Amino acid sequence: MPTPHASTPGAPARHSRRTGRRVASATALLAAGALLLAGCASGGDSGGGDASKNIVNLVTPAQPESMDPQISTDSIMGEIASPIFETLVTTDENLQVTPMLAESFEANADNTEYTFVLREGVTFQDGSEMDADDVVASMNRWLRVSVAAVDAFAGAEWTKVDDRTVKLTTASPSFLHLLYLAQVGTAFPAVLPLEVVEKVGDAPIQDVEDIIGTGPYTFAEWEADQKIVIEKWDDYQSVDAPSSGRSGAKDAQLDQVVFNFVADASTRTLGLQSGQYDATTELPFDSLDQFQDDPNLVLDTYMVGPINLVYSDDPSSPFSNVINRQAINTGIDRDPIMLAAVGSEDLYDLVHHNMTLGQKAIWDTEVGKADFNQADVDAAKEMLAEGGYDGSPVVVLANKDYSEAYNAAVVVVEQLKAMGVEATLDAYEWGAFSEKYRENRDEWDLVVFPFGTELDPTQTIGFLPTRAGYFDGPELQALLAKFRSAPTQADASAIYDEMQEWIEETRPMTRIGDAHNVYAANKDLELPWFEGRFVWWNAHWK
Amino acid sequence: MLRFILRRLLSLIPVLFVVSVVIFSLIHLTPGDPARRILGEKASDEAVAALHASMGLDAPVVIQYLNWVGGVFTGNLGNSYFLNKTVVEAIGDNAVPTIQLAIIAMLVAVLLAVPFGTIAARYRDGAIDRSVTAFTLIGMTVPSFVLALAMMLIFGLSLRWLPISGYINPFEDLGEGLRTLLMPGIALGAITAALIARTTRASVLDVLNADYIDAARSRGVTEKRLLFAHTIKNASLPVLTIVGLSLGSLVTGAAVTETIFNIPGLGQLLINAISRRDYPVIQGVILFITLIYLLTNLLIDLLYGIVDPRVRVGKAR
Repeated sequence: MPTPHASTPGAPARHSRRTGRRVASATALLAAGALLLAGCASGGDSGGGDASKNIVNLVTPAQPESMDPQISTDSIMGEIASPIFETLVTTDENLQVTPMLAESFEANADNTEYTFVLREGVTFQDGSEMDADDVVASMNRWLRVSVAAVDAFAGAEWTKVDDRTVKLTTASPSFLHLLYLAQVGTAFPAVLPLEVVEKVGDAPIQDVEDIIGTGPYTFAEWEADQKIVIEKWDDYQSVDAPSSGRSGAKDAQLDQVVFNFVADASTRTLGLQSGQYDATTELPFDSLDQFQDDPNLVLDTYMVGPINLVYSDDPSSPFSNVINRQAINTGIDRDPIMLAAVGSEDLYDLVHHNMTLGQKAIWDTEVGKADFNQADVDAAKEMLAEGGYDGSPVVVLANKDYSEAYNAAVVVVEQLKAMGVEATLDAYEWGAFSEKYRENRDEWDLVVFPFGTELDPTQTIGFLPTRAGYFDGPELQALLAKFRSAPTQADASAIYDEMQEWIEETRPMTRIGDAHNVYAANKDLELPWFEGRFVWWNAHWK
Repeated sequence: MLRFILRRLLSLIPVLFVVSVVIFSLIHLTPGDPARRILGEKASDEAVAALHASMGLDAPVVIQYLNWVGGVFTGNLGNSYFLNKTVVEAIGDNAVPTIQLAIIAMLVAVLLAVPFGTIAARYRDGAIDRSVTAFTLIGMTVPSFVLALAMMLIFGLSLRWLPISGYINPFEDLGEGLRTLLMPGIALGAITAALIARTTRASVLDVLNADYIDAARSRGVTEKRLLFAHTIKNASLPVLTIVGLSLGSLVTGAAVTETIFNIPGLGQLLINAISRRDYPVIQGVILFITLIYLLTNLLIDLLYGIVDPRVRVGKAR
C-alpha cells in the first residue's frame, strides 16, 4: 500500500523520476535514431555529386516557363535545349557559321536566297528520319513565332526543293540571316519533326512528349519546379568532323544531366559546397569571395547583360524634356552603382555604347566615348535647372527578382538625390514590375532595367518600338530597317554608328554597365564552356 | 452529432464562396500577365493577345469567375498554364510532400514537447524546467529560416549527414526520403514544439494545482497514477487545441521551409504560381488550403468531445 504524503506537485518521487527518465530516454532514442538513420544513409548523398553514376547535377535558380526552343526567351531553356535540338547551321570556336543539320549551304549572288542541302541519315529522337518537310515546317514556324525572326526575317519564306534540299528566300539581303540561323540561345531555329509542328501550330509546345530533337541528348523527365533530366541518346548520328565550338562531332559521355531548380540562393551555394550539386550557371553575386578559394570548384565569369536606366516617355514626367535626360546621364557615377549591383570590380564592365564589351570585335564605335561617365553632379544640377526641373517627385521603378538591378536602383536613387532630384524607389516582383514598365508609364519616371545580351543591336529590348521610353518614331525605325538590310557586317557597323548617334542625341536611356555572372563546376568535371553555355555533349568526369 | 457535422459542413460553403471571390478579385487586380511570362518580355502584343484568347483570359472577369466557379462545383479547378496538368493533379502531387513534412514536424514537436512540457511542470522551477523554458524561448524566437540555414551548415555542409535540399518520397525510398525530410521537419516543427511545450507545461501545472489532485493524493493515489490517470488527460484540452491549430498551419504555412529546402509542396507550388501568375493554380491552392484549415478546426471541435465528455457535441444543455 502506498504511503500517503503531503509532497508538493513539484516534489520528486522515485517512480515519477523513473517515468521522467523513461520519457526522456524514449525521446533521446527517437532523436538519436533519426540522426543515426541520417548518418547511416549519408553515403548515398542523394541528388548529386556522383561521378560513378556518370551523372552531372547542375543547379540553377528557376525552371524555364516553356521548353519550346523556338518561342521561349528564357536563357535556361537554351542551356537545357541546346543538347536536345539542333539547327541547320551553327558556330565554330571562331564564331564562323558552319553546317550542322545541313551538309552544305550556299547563298545566291545578291544574298537573298540560301540553299541548304540536308545531311543524310539524320533521325529524330522518335525514330523518324529528318527530311525537307520537317525542316521547312520547322523553319516557317520559327519565322512566325520567334521574336528575333519576326524582325530579322520579315517577308522571308522557306520552301522545299527536294527531299534533301530546302531554300530560304528573303525580302532583302542581310548579314543577320546566317547569324540568326546559327544561334542556339533563346527562341532559336531548332528543327522539329513535322508531326510536332502540325500538332502545336504556333502555340508553345506544352507536352513533354513533343520535345523531340535530333541532338545527342533526349528530354527524359520534367518534375515541375524541381528538375529537368536529359539523357544520353545512344542512336545519335554525329558529324564526322572535329569538334569546335558548337560545331563538329558531338560525343555524349554523360548518361544524364540533371538541371535542379533551387530558388533560394543560400541553398544553392551550400549545395554546391557540399557536393550535392556539381555545377551552376549562376553563382549569387555576393558569394564570389566564398567560392574563389574553394579547391573543389573551377570558376569563371561571363557576360550576363547590361543594366540600363530608361526614361519614361509620359508627358507628365520631367524627363519628357531631353535636357533633363541628358542631365542624369551627365551626373550619374557608374562605378558605385555597378559595385553595389554585383559586389566586385571583377564582375562588371563599363561600356559607352549599346552592345557589350565582349562584342567589341563586331560592335564597336567611338560615338559617345568622349563624354562617357562624367559623373559631374554640378553640371547635372545646372542642366536640370535649364531643363525646368522644379523639384517634383521622381519615381524610380525597379524589380526585386534581379538583385543586381535592384541594388543598382538603390544607389541610383541616392545619386539622383545628390543631383537635387526628389527621387523615391518603387520596387516590385517581376510580374507587377513588368506590367508597370510596359503599361503604366505615368506611374514612374525612370526604370532600372536589366537587358539581355543580344546578337545584334536591333534586338536589345530598348529598340523595340512597343517598349516604354523614347524608342519609337520614324527616324529610329528607318535606321533599324536600314541596319537589318545591311548586306555585310561592315555596312552594318557604319549604321551602328548612326544608331549610337541617335541614342546620344535622343537619350532614351543611360547605359550604366554590364554585369557578369559566375559559372562554377566541380574540378573533376571536364565541362567545356562556349558562348555563355556549357557544352554538355563533350563533358565527362575526369 | 451527425446533424452538428452536417451543419458545420454546410457553414463552410459561404466561407469558401467569400474566399473564392476575394482571391479571384485580388489576383486579377494584381499587375502581371501569364501570357507575357510564357512568351517573354519581347513578345509582340499580337502574340500575347492570341495566347490570352487561347487561355480564356480575353473574356470579361465576371465570366471568367463564373466559368471557374462552375468548374469548382464539379471538381474541376481548371488547368495550370505552366505545369501541363490539371490544378487537381498539381494539388494532389504537391500535397503529398507537404503532408509528409507536416506529419514529421508535428511528430517531432509532439514527441519532444509533450514529454518535456510535462516533466517541466512536474519538476517546476528545477533545472529541467529552466532548460525547457529556455529552449522554448529559443524555439519561439528564432525564425525557421535561420534554424534551417544553421542545420544546413551543420548537418549538410560540415557533417554531410543530410542532403542540403531536395525531396524523395519516403514511400519510394524510406531511408533517403526521411533524410530529405528530417531537417525541414525540425525547422518547421520548432516553433510548434515550443508552443506545445509551453502550453503543456502551463496546462499540467494548472491541473496539478487543482483541489481534486490534492484530494486524490491524500487518498493515497500514487504520483505516477496522479500524473498519467488524473493530470495528463485533463490537461490535454489546451494542448489538443494548439496541436490542431498548428497542424493546420504546418500544412498551410510551410512555404518558407519548402522554398529553402526545395521541397515540392503546396507552399512552393503557391509561391511559384503567384510569381508566374498561374491563376487557376493560385485559386485552387488557396481554396484547398482554406478547406483544410476549416476541416481541421471542425475535427478539433469533434475531438474535444472525445477527450472531454463535458463539451461533447449534442450532449450539452
